[in-house]
Amino acid sequence: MTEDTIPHFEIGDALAMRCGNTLTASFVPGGSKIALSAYRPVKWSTPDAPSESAGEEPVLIYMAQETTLYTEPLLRSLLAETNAAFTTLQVLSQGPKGDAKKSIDYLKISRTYRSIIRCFLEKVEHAKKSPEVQENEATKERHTEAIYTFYAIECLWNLFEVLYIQQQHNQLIVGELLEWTRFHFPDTEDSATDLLLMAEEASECDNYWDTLKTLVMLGQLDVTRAILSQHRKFNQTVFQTADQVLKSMPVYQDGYAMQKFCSQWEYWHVDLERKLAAHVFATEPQLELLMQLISGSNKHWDAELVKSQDWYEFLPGYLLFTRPACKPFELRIAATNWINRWSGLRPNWKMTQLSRMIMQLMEHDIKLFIYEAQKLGDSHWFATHLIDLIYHSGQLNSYFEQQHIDLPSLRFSMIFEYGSYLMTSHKLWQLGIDYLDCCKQEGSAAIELLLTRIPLKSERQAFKIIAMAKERGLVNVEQSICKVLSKRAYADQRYGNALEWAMRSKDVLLVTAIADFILKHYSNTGVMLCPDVITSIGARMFVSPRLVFLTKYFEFYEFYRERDFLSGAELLVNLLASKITPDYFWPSLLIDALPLLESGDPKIFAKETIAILQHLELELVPIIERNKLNTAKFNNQSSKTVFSDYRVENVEEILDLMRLACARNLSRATIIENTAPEA
Amino acid sequence: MVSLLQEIDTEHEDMVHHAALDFYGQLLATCSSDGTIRIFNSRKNNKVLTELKGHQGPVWQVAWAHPKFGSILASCSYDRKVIIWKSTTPRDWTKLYEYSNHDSSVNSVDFAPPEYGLVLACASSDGSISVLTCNTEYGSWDAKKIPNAHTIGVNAISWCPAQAPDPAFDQRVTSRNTAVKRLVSGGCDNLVKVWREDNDRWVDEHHLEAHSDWVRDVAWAPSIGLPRMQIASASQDRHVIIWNSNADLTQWTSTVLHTFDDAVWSISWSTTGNVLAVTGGDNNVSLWKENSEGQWIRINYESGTATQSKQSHHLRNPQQQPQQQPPSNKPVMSDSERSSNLSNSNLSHSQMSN
Repeated sequence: MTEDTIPHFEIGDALAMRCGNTLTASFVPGGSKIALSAYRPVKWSTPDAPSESAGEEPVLIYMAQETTLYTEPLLRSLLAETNAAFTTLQVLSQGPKGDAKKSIDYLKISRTYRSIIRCFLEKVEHAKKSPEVQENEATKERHTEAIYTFYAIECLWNLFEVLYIQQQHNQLIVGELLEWTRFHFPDTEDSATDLLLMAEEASECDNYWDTLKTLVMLGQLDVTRAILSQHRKFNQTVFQTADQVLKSMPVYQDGYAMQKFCSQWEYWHVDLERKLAAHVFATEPQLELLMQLISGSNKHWDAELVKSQDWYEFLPGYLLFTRPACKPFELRIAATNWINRWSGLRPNWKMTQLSRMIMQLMEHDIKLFIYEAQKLGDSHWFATHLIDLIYHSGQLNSYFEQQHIDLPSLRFSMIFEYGSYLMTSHKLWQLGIDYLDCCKQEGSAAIELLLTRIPLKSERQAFKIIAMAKERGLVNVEQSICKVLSKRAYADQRYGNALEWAMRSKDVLLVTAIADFILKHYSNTGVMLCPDVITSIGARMFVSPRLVFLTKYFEFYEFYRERDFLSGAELLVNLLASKITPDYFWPSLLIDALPLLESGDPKIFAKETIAILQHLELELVPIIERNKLNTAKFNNQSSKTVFSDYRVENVEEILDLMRLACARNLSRATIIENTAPEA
Repeated sequence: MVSLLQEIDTEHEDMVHHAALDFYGQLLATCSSDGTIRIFNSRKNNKVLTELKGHQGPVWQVAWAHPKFGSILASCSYDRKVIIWKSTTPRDWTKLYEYSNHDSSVNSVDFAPPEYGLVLACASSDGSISVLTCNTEYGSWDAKKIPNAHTIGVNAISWCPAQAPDPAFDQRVTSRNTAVKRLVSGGCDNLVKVWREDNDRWVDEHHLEAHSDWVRDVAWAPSIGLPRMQIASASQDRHVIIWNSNADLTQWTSTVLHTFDDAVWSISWSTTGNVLAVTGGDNNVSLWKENSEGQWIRINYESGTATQSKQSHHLRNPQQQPQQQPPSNKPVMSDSERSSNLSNSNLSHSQMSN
């Protein structure tokens, strides 16, 4: 490939062309876009001053992307449907080996793909006529482009199927090829239908004979006969003879001996030529011309060929009248000869990509065909699915070996790239995953890289992504998504949500940070945030000791609110002894004990009261001391570091109250405990 | 075939030196010679969301942290400072930390893989590299400096992915032990250096020597589960070199990607590391990929049956600017950008010709 075939995509950025500036580009993370902008390399000699272009030109960033067909939801529907066929094929190939049955299955898959395309084409054609599409120029163009591309793909796939997937034991292909051209050149059939509907009047029609000639060259003899039989002069001998010739043309039937068929056909052919030589049809020149075509007369074919739309249009018809038993390997020579003949008649003819690819298929040049298939504007849809099918059906293995092409690795790289293309495309990521799943560890690594980069638009989507990550054992992806959502909820002050996601992420630091926030908020304001979430934590609290504390404290808080003081007191004493109380929460926790201690009928036993007193002296007092020290050291600035609440000024007073309360409760409890048992 | 999706007018007063999109490709940060950083929403409209002022000189590069740390952006400037910014909403940004322990312009910043925590590497013209680590629990920052990393200056820096390459025989799960932290840097001493963290110290693990002029950009490729690592380096000597390692990163071999017509300034890997974008003084962006035989080929794209060229943009005269190399009489290449991971190069040219 030479330099000038490299496509040009140019952006007219004024700034990039000035003062030695150039262009820079970088990939957009997680997407298939590229960001471009003007660039000025900085060198040791660059002066430290505004550049010459400062303020002169607008500074622009461009976002570019490979042109893709699948921007409309309708056009994307094709991808979803083929994804299902692709998955079926992967499952099929893993099933038990049973060769004969399998090749039929592969044919079925191939037909499924084609029927998906045909159905899709129909839908797009229909949609194209709708006013919404007609009004929007860009959308209309995309629809046209999609129709054009996929029409070509269907045509190629159909031919590929006839030549390489469909395995017939007799290897006769002319019939199939005729079907193929019939489908892809429907104009003649349309005008033939018109003629049939006109009945007797048809023979007066201007295009009567032209249509018949084209029908003959397309090998559609049944229709030809039907139209001929409507001719006004059909009763005349010459028409009867012609009809007889058409009717008696041998058609190969399954199970028939090939040799016998060939000799019968040869006999029929010689008979026709003999009739032509004897000028049997001379009274009707048009009919005679028709018969000349049927006899395969090169002179007459050449004259008619000029009318054809593309080189391959009449090739199957010509084969029908000259080599009806043509085998795939003979097709190569026939096609080469035919194309030479055709281009000889049309010296100015330029091959389109479609006609070139058809030639490659007929000439058995699969390698070049696949190379060309990758240039269709379908984001490699065709090449990828076809290669995959070729790989599974295994029918071309020896060909690829001969050509030194590593088919498995070719398939692998095609699927990998197609899968990553889908995954990096807007709204297509769920389809891409199935393709990357076939790509072993590279696929799994790519899924891991790309899944985390899908923008998390809603929690529903996040759950979907997490489910997919879980299916594949990608723990990191799940945790990363949970952390991001937790951070996001926290920034939005949705603390319950933040805590939920943090617990899912199993990130101890994150959970601790959020639990801290909730506890501090409570000790500052007396308001418990997100009680519903905390209630439902349950066994998940063991992620972080701080969360355990939060949950347990919340339990106490609930007991207290429900006035279940005895259970509350017990829990509080346990909490005090638990050694998981964060420093900043000691005052809160001890003050909570105050009302319980002051209660008329003791809620806390003597032993526990002593424990509380002990905590008071051993935990709270040192903290206060430390705090004082810090306050002194930093000149009052950090007095808020430990107790950032209103109690900080009154902490000494609280301490005294606590001591007093403990003493009173202790006396009450001791009296009760020591008198009760004897009674 | 490439189509232009949008144009964003940054409204900067002077050249933009770097434009970076966040983790999801949604927010765009640009930094300019005018000393400011601007944030845009790259999807919705092209209006600027906010402008960050804090540097007293051209801002060379910006980098986004992983969103699990919140919305955090780092910037480095000619004013020798690195600033880390934090936002609660895309419009509302505050300075989180400022690092000013470099003696010269800071050229490049890059956040480490999120598995290592919130860690930032900075490369400076004073020849040193700094690695800043945030203690997210207390919000404090710790800096470690690699002095004399490259004489005259460090131009670019890039982190090694956290996934250690899988030895082929190993099971994926067991090999997921936290990988050793590694960095690659490129500098004015024409060297590419690979650094490894070893007990709180950064040691110079490999000197990759092949360039004959300043190395302008280095980029460590994302790991896609193969038992190897790849680094791309771009230099003023007009070469881009791909460095391939073995499974345990003890050996590196070089492949020259291509000799360009002019100095190469920057390189960028696609998300899965299968396409490399190269841009340089020849005013071109070219895309490259490695085929299944390990050859690097330029992605090109011939218009197919259904695709017609239909760019409506005004044409640019791709004239070469005389820079270090006098313009050679090679054909002027065209811009050939394809932004997806797809290419038609699975069958390479060499295969086509045999």
